[in-house]
Order: sequence, then C-alpha cells, then structure tokens
Amino acid sequence: MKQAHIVLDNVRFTHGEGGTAFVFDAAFEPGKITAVMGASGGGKSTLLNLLAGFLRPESGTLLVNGMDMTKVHPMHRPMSMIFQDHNLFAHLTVAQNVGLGIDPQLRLDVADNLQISAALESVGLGGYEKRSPTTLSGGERQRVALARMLVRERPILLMDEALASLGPGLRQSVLALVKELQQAKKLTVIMVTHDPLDAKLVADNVVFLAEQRVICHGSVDEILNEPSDLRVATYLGI
Amino acid sequence: MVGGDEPLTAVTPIAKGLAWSVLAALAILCVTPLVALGSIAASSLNLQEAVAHLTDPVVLRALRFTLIQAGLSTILSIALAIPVLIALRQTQSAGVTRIVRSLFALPLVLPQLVAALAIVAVFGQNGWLSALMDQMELSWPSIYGLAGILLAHVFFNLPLAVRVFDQALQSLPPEYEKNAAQLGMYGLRRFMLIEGVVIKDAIGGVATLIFLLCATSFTIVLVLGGGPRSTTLEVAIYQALAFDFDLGRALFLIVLQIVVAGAVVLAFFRRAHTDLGSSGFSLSAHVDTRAAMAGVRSWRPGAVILLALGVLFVGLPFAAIAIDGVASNPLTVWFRPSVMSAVWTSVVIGLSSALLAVLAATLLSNAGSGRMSSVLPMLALIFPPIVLSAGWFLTIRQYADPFGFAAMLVIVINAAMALPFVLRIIDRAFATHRARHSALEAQLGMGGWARWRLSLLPSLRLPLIVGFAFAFALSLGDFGVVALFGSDGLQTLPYLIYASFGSYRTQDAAALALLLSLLVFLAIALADFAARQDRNDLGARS
Amino acid sequence: MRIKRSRAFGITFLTTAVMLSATFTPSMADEGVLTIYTYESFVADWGPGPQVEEAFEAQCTCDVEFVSAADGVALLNRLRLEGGNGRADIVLGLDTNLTAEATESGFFAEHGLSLETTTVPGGWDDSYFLPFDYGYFAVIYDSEKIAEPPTSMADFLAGDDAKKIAIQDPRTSTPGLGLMLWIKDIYGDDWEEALEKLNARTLTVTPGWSEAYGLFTNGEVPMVLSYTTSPAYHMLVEETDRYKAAGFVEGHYMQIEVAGITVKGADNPLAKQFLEFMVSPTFQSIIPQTNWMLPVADTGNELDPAFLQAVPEKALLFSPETVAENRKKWVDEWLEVMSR
Repeated sequence: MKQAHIVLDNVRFTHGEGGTAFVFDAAFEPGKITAVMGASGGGKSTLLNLLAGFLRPESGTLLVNGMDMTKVHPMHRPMSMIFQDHNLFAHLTVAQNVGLGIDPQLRLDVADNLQISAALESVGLGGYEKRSPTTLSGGERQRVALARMLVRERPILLMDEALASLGPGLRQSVLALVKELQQAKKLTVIMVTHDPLDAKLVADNVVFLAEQRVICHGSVDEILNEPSDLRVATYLGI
Repeated sequence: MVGGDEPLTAVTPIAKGLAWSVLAALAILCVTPLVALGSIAASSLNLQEAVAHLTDPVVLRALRFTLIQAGLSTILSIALAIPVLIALRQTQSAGVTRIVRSLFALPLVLPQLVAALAIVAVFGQNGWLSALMDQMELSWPSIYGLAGILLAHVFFNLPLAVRVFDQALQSLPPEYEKNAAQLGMYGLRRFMLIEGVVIKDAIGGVATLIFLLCATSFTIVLVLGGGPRSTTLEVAIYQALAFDFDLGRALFLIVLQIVVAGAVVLAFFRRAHTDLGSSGFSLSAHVDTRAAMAGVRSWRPGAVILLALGVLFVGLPFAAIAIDGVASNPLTVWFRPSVMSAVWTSVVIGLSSALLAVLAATLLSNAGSGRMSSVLPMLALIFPPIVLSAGWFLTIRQYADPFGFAAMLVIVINAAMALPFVLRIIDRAFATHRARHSALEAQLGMGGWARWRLSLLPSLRLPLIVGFAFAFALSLGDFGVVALFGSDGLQTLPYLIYASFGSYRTQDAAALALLLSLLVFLAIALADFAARQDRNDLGARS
Repeated sequence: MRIKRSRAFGITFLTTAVMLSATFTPSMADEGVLTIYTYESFVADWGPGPQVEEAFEAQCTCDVEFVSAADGVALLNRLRLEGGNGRADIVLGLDTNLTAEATESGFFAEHGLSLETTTVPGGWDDSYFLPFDYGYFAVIYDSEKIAEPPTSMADFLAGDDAKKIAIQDPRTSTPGLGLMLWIKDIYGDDWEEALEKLNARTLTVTPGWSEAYGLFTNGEVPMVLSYTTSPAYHMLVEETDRYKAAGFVEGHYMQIEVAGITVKGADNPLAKQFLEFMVSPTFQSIIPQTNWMLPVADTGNELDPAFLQAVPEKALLFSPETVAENRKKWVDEWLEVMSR
C-alpha cells in the first residue's frame, strides 16, 4: 500500500445557517498516526467528516498525494472510517459486515470468504464469522470494523472517537492492534480522541483544534509534553 | 435507567385510583353495549335464528367483502408506499423532504367524509381525471364500489405507511448511512441491506394497522360503496340497525366484527412492535439525522418521477377540496345560520371530547400506564365507533329516547376513539419526564400539586396541546358515530356535509368540506405553532 | 410570557367545560311545539319544508320542528329504534306500502279526520294515515347520454350494462321499496332473474332518493330511479328537457305519500290541526313545485301541464296488507340477490 500524504488547504465548512465557519489548514504525515485533539465543538468530528467526504466543503481543497479529492464520493476516497458506534449493520453477520468491504452488493465467492476469515484472524476474532454483532462486546465490534478496513485495503484509516466507549483495558488492546496493523500495512491513521494517554500510547503526531481552527500541530512530545500554547495547556490541565 | 419502568416517584393511591376509574369507565363504555345487546338478543331470539345467521349469505358476503377490501387496501397501500419512500429517501433537498412529510401527515387528520368527496371530485365520472381522459377519448370507469373504496383507503394509508416507515428508518444510526456511502453500497441492494431490514420489521405492524383501519372503515364505504354488493361488516351493522332494525343480525355482525378484528390484532400485534404512536402524530418535522449527508447522495430522475406521482396522488384531493370549495361561493354558505350552528355544535363536541381524551390520557399516564398504553389502542380498533354507538343506542333506548343522549354519547365515544392516539403522545412524554426528573423530584420531595405545577405541567404542556389538537381534529371530522345518532337535533358539520352531498347540493358540500378542512388544519397548525414556540423557548433557555 | 400562555390554556379548558355542560343540559319544552319526522328532501332548502313551516306557523302561532331521516322507510325504522320514546308528533313521508306495518307497530293513533277531503286514484279509507301527495315511479334518463330509452321494464333490465342506474335501498327509501315492488308486481315469483339483471345494471344503491338523484344530476350515472314528475322540475326550474322519464308498457308503480299522528302526538292538539292544514289548498299548492309530486286535493289553481303529461296510462299498486305481509321476505330476497 502506498503511503498517503494528506493536505487540507483552507477548507471551509459551516454547519446550518448562520453558524460560524470552520476553516482547516493542515497536513498529515504519511505512514504515521496523528491524533486529533481539542475541546468539544472545536471541530474534530467535522474535520474527519470532511476528510471522509460525508461533508462537502464550501471552499478549499483536499489533496491526497497531490490528487484533488474535494468532490470525490466517499466510496472512491482512499480511506476507511471507524465511528464510535454503529460501524456494523446489526442484522448482518460478522462475516457479512466484513464482506461489505470486498463487495458492497455482498456477492461473495469462496476466495472472498477466505479473505474475510483471514482478516478476522488478524484482528483476533478467528471463528467469529457467523456471529451477530449484537452478541459481541464493544471492543470486538471495533475489531470487526478494523477487519473490514483491512479487506478494503485503503491506505488511510480515520477513527472518530472509535475507542471512546471502551474501558481502559480494552482500549489499550485495540490501540495496540491499530498500531500493529498500521505498522504492518504502512497506514496513515488519523484518530480523534480526547484522552492524551491514547495519543501518547500510539500516536506520532498531534493536531490540536480550538475555535474551529487548527491551532497547533507537531509531534506528540512537542504538543502534549511541552505545550507552548496556553489553550492546549489548559485543555491538558498542565 | 436502573430498575426499568419502576418510577422513583411513588405513584400515589389517588393517582392509581384515578387511573383505575378511567380504565373502569372505558371497560363500561365497551362492555355495557355488548351485555345489553346480548340480553336483548337472548330475550327476543331463539337459538335457531341465531344459528341461521351463521349461514346468512348476506352476512357472509359482508364478511368476505370486508376481508377482500381490507386485504387489497393494505397490499396496495404498502406496495405503493415503498417506492415512494425510497424516492423520498433519495431526496437531497431538505425543503422537498419537509414538504412531502407535511403533506403526508395531512390525510391522517382529514375527515373521511371530506376525503370521499375529494376522491369523487378527482377520480369521479365528472372528475378531473375523467375530463382528462375524455380529451384523449378514453372512457373512465366509475369509482363507486370497490374501486372507490380502494382509492380512498390508499389515499389515507399510503402516506401513513410512508410516515411510519420513514420514522422507523429514523432509528437507523446515522453511521449506517456513512458506512454505506463509504463502502459504495447503492441501489436496490443497498436498500434491501439497510432500509429493507427496518421496513421488514415494521411491515407486520403497519399492515395490521392498515388492515384494521380499512376493515373497520365506515364513512368511506358508506359514501363510495355501491350498495349491498360492497358492504363491509361495519356498514352492515349500521344497516341492520338503521335500515332493517334486525337486532339479531346486528348482534351477530357485531360479534363477528369483534372476533375478526380481535383475531387480526392477536395474530399480528404480539410479534410486531410497530408503535401506533409513531404513525406520524408528531406534527412538526422531526430532526433529520441525514442532514449531515446532504451533498453525498445522488438524486435520480426515477425517484423524482415516483415522488411526484406520490405527491400528486395525495395532493390532488386536497387541491380539489380547496379549488371546489373556493369556487362554490363559500362565504354565503358558511354564514348561513344552519351552518354556523353546526360549526358551533361540532366545535363544542370536538373540544369536549378532546378535553375528555386528554384528561383520561393524563390520568392514565400519571399512574405509569406502560403496559396499558400498548393494550388500549387495540380496544379502539376492535370496538370501532359504530359498534359502540349502536350498542349504546340500543341500551339507552330501553330507558329513554336515545336521540336525547346523542351529544353526550358522541362526545364520549369520540374521546374513547381518540384516547389511544392521545395516550401514546402523552404517555411517551410522561415516560421521558419520569426518566429525567423522577429522581430529582423524589430527592426534593416534590409531590402533589407542586409536582404538577412546577415539574410536570411545564414539561408536558407541549404533548398535551398536541394531543388535544389531534383529538379535536379526529372528533371534529367524525361521521361514524354521528351517522347513527345525527338528526336535526344534533347537526354537526360532517352531518351537514353528508346531507348536502346526498341532496345533490354539491356546491354546498364543497363549501362545507372546505370549512371543515380549514377548521381541522387550523387546530393542527395552532398546535404546531405552540409546539414551535415551546421549542424556541427551550432553545433560548438552554 | 410563560404565565400568560398557561393562563390562556386554562381559560380554554374552562370555556370548554362550560360549553360541555351547556350541551348536556336538555332543552325539552314541548309547549306550543309540533315535532314532525320527515324525509331529508322534504326539509331541504328547496323542498316543501321551509314554506310549509312558515305557512303553518303563521296560522297556529306555534313552533314547527322538523326532524329528518334519509328517506321514508328510514322514518319507520327510526320509530322502531326509538321504541316509542321518540319526540315525533307527526310522521310525514311514509307511503301506502308501509301504512299497514306502521299501524300494526302501535306507534300511531287514529287521526279522526274526514276522508272525503282528498282525491287519490283508487280512493282513500285509512283511519290512521292521510295522503298528502302521490306520484308514479319511473326511470329518469339523461337524453344526452342515452339515445334510445327503454320502453318497458323488460327492455330496461335487458339493457346495456355499461349504462348504469342509481337506485335506492328498499330498506330505507320509499322509491327503493317502490322499485322493488314494481319488479315484484311485474315478475311475481320469478323475479330472481329480473333482480339479477337489475343488479348488473346498478351502479350504486343509495340510502335515500336524494343521494341517487344527486349522482344522476352530477353526471356520475346516466339513469336514476325517481318519479314521472321529476322531469317537470328540470323543465320548469332549469328550463331544459334534457332529463326525461322512460315510459314502460307494463305500467308504473304508484306511490301515495302519507302522514299520521303518533301516540304521543295524539295529546298535542297541533297535530290534528296540521293534518287538516296538510290537505288544505295552502299546503297542497306548495307540493307540486317543491316536492315535485301530484297534489291530492284542491290547490286553488291550475296544475302546470308538465305534471299532467307525467301521469302514466297504467298504474300498479299492491295493497298495504300484501306489502306488510311480505316486505321483510321480499327485502331479504332482494338483498340476497343484490349483495352478490
């Protein structure tokens, strides 16, 4: 998989009418994990939705490896997104949910099924094919979503508070899995989180949002351990 | 919430007592006429006659026609609703979505009688479509009989199905939409994999609801039916009483009606979890969880055409009411003394039964009705108004002139018919209130009147108003109860419309139909306005 | 703002409660009031009711209150439904097909008036009911839609099924009952086949005459069962001869409409006074051009020739006793065929 270089150039978006506009200028390093942080309302989810194409910017450009992705449909973007919840269709089996990543019309052959099983194996859920998502724990469900991400083979993984509803133990193990997969597949990962520990555990870089803008951008060390910006320091409680 | 349904605020004995008295009153309302009818029949009929009714071809044909008619209405409504729904979900424009949703909410409160007139105006031999066909030199079949009944039932129930499905689909997490878009799921396959599953779950309940509404349909069949050939059980009950004065046949028909309706309810409602309350009684457009997806979905020409057809089908009768009404010189009709007094009568009856329904619903909800609110709607569907009014008519008749009690009975029966719907609205509000505030109320020791004044009423005002408006609209447009009781002593607006329509004063009927529609929609609009004010207040406070 | 709104809310509730109690309060003052049950089209704005009310109130200084039912037979049904607890002093609008049953029901009292005052074909000798008009049933057709009208009942029944007719229900409507008896009179015991043909020709069966006639004049149906006198309305009021009565060689069934005093009405002196008024020229002169039927007594002036044209050569009529004996059975037979 090719490593993806992502650039947001003056991407502007307004929620509803009369709201304040979000304006994003940012670049994400290829092959690295970047944590997106900041207080509620700062625009973390908006940023990810813009990246994934669920929101369409009013102006500005989104470049991935130099290609303009601004008007590209979500399905054609080189990304997979994992949400906090509801990543799986509750009425489909685990295998079918993963299979959607291979063929959205769910026409799967033997080879596809092998690929699905392999993906499940690699997220630690071997033998879970026939299970219903409703019988899984929160952590297991996110692992299935990761398995689907694997079969989709997109170079960018977006995680929108994907671990927020997991307890500390589960969180660490899923994070470890993400890190492992990222290394193996050379993924570019952008994860929204509000827990500095998550970022310190796996992230290379941090993008910090406030007042609907990116206010600082740097390595985990720079931003989280020695914040130069007062707003970041206040947020972290330092 | 810990402890499930168990409210933290203890239900006081008074609240419990009040709720039980409401239930007792309901039971009396429903059961008394049956007992009375049974005893009348027992004293005046012998067994042989009773058995003879079992093979009465007239009764059996009414039963057969009821089932066929209701079955076809259900299949058509749902089969046509799904494509319209798909088209609606494809719509990008929030404006179009809002307009379609509002339009599709209207038939729910449109009086059946007015709808019947409007259907004739659009689809009748002298209607708009017929005129169009004439120009193309095609002959247009008559709508009297099964065709007209089906048209009217689909007019009412297609939008109902669309709204129930649409609201069921609102329960889909917004992430599904995003997942589907990202994964590149599209078309029919995508619909089957996502929306289809929800619809499949909801379809049993919706079908049962529509089937029952159509099987017990009275006014539509009375006005658009073609006489004995297309008579439903409901109309046959009315005819057995008002036409033949055949008590034996009437009783047999009533029992048959209850058995059929009860069987359908039992067969389906047990499994289906469709919520009567979700069938679109929320008047304001709800928050669109898909707003965030605007710009991503594509808007296909097929969907445009489908949606346009659906909107035309539902919208044309409304246009007919407006156009024919305005063309009929309405002001001269409206200000006739007979019309003014009918409006007054209707409004008093409407307000009274709405008051009664809201009061009963509040008392029930306050005692934590929970289970009751899922049982009660069935009662209304099993004991349709004509059964209640016929039963009470014969009961009272033994002691006094039943026409003297017409107003009271119309009010009470209309209230009972509206209760299940009102209860759904209010009960849900109570449940929400309980979940949010009962702990706080308990901790602060708020009870009695203080709890009502400071805690309950402020947060329940909106559902109370909405429930009141809905019950008012239902009662205002009622013709089923009035048909049996109505007379010069009790002329409601629908009764006047029926009389005008019957005596070929179509101009008058059109003017009155417009008036009735305006009154109904005014009530709904006021409630809607109040609801929006309330929401703004809340918004300003938070 | 909040307080204001909740107060307005309270006021609405209070007003409603007051109106509610006002509705419940019975208003039963029978002094100087004459309650007449009649059929719907009689009390319509264009029917005889308003003029009759005005004329009678002028001479009795009382209040006439009409209560209407869908049609003539429904009046009798209503009396049965009320079981003698009703308000009627007079029931106006039954016909001779119902008088025997009505007398037997015990709801009516003898009128005690002279029988000489009226002249109906066949004479009058009923001590319970007095006639107020009469006419002959006929199939009325729209000459713009039907070029060759039927000339006999047989012809009509065998006609084109695409050209339908609106008829009335014999269980509620005297014209509906009349058509049923008309066919029974012509076909006797072999009428099932005739009814089957009628069923095929029928667009719809309405509870009252006015619904059916409304469908006809609205163009929903090209034929309707009404009276030979109905075209006179279109000629004299609308000045059109588009709507015509089809003359049948088998003869036309006749209807004599009557009124009677109820047992309750026997105690009200106004009731007897009204029946006397009913056969007086004042009332009778109102009938032709409002009820569009033939008068049964002197109207004080010449009848428009349009009415006289409408008298058929041969009239058919069962005796009240025959109808009373067989009505339930015949209606059941009718219903059995018509519900197919």
